[in-house]
Amino acid sequence: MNNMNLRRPNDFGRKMNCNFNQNGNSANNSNCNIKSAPAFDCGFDTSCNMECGSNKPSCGCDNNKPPCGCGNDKPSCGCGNNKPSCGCGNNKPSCGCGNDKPPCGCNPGCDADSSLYNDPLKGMALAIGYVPWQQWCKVYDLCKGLQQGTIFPPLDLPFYGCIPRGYCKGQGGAQ
Amino acid sequence: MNQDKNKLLLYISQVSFGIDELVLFLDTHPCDQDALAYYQELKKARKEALDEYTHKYGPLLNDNVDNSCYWEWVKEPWPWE
Repeated sequence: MNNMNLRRPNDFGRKMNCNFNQNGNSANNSNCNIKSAPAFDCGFDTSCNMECGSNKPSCGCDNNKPPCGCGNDKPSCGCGNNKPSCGCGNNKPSCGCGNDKPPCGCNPGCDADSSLYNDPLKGMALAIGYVPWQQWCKVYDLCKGLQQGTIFPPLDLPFYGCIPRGYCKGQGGAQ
Repeated sequence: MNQDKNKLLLYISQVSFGIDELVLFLDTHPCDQDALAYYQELKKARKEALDEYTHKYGPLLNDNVDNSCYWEWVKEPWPWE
């Protein structure tokens, strides 16, 4: 194939501008300093005036007991997962730290050696995939780039899909 | 294939791959000045290498044919030759 200038699907048929203000709008000057990530409007209603579910302003409408009254989101409710009076389980006040601390006595089998403590994504929301924003840094020499399959050292990651005792025994990456 | 030709071909592969990588980066970082500067550098280096190859050994890509009197592309060995 000779034409190597195909537009990739991730262009989405739009031009990216070099200037974003805090609202994500493009500016017309040629200054390329992006101060913050653009806040694209994805079409969701971001306000808190929904009439049902746990977002109802008047609360008293989620899965908690009447004393709690509220959902997880209304600050004045004080309830949800963190209300001190919620007692034990995940919410025991003396834990102050999720469900792993000894005073809670819950979550048997989790100790300091658990992978939970070694998880680099610890503290981030569950069920959401993350792709950290790549920063420019010194790239590989051209010969090493082709050899490794990338010119970006941070993307030169070990390949774990090895066949035992195969070509990449005990090693990761292309070398 | 002689040694110099082989080396030049390898270098063209390396610099072309570098550009492919940079293009992917620039698609998501269109304002990154370091990446833009490196792109210009590699683009120039690739052009010079292709020109040198074409001059010495014939066209490597079908848009490297400079001779307007003869289609030199067919002088080069085919991939299976």
